Amino acid sequence: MSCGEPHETDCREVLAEVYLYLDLECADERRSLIRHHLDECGPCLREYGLEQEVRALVARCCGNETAPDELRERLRVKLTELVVFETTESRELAD
Amino acid sequence: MRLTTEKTDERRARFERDAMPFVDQLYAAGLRMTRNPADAEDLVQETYLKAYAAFHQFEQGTNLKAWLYRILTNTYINSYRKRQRQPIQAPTEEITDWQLAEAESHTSSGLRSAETEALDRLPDSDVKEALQQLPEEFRLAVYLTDVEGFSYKEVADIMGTPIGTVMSRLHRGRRNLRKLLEQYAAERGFSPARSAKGSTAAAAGREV
Repeated sequence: MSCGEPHETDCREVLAEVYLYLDLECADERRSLIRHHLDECGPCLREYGLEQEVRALVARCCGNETAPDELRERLRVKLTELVVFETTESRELAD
Repeated sequence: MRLTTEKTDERRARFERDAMPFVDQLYAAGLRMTRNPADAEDLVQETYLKAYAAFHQFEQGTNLKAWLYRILTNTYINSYRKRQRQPIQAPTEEITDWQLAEAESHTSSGLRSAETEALDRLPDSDVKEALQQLPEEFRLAVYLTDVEGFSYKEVADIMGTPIGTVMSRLHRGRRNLRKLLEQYAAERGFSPARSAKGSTAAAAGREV
């Protein structure tokens, strides 16, 4: 698959690595090759834009939650209750 | 040894100061894992108690968030998933699958920027719903990468899998997610290329 235009790096290669690029997991050299390709290839750039959009949507919509206050309170109480166990263990480690 | 001589109340204070700020994030991840607020609360509670009990093993200066996520993920996999009696998905994904994946929609024409805008109009609930539709391993890989911004290496450590597996899960998860989102956008009449999307949407329904 290709957009028909000659590129230094093949479209297929670029799209196979589009997630690596998006996730900043590319080596610098690959990264600049891909960036160069995206600059000159409209179809790949649109494809990249869509993947970027999906990633941004997930980040925006799926992580934004607030833990219930009761959970925080319960955690504080439970952590205090664990003191005895922790003290024994700490002493053992210190010896 | 500083850690072993640390007083219990000091350690608890340090734990509360450093670990408690992640409670909202862990709860959100717990919700995406369990798909249920009550289970998410229990999961987060168990995670924090385990983390506190093992806090002396945590190496200060390393990534506390990743460490907490690893405990959360292990706790979920070892107890909650079993309790929820969900079928455990066979680890079907292989690195070759990821490598062989074709950029199938590359040649499709149309205004992609308009498609991007169509996706952008989707309500939060649609995006959450689409993520929930993904098989568990894919869902977690996508969540940890996209929401929490963990590196592949960190996700691999958290999920206890090789990096190649993370990449494969991420790849397949995102592909399915995008198809679902495009399908939702078409159903809501947002998609500018509605007729062209029909076959893709049907394919997404089968695959997920």
